[in-house]
Amino acid sequence: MIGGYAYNLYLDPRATGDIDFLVSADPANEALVRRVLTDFGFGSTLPSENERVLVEGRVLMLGRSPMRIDLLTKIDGVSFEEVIETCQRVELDGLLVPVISPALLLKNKIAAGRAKDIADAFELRKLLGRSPND
Amino acid sequence: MEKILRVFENHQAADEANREDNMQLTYQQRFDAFMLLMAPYYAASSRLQRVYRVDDLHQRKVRDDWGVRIQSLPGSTSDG
Repeated sequence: MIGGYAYNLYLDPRATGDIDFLVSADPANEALVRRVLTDFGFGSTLPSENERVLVEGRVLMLGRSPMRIDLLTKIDGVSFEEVIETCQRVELDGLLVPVISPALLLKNKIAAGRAKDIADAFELRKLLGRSPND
Repeated sequence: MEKILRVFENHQAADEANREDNMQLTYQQRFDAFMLLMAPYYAASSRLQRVYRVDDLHQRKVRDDWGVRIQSLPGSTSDG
């Protein structure tokens, strides 16, 4: 889990229109993601089996805001491997969810650089006890 | 949840689609989305609202927050 929901686990809640997940674009992950999406009721929306869904850089949007789920195959400033190696596993509704660490979330927010990312980065710096220039 | 899947080649394209989605929303749809996000907070305050209504009935008055007209409730024996 990354993005606004991860931010909300560490800091005062702010509104967000979607929940973001980082998924590996590794070809070995293709069948797993297809199965998850099919189990979740999105089977009919998937492209045919011979067409890959997970291509690095792609964003898959399920549904519409404010009940939207985004699957991202790449995020700014940090790699999938870094995120997984340093993530915090948080129990949410009885499920162990890997959540991006605050330090990497900050790194990602700084690299993304949109207005809302800059605001998030400001709060994350305070959480991590870092100066504005870190 | 609406069963649609949209695939974008990069974040910029996804952000642009998100902006277009937002621009197409009516005030009612924005209001509905906001209410959906706020629902847990309103649910938490509903018990307080029920207590508040009991207090209104005790006074045997229809609330008239805007000062339009105070009316007696049907069956009320007192106007005071």
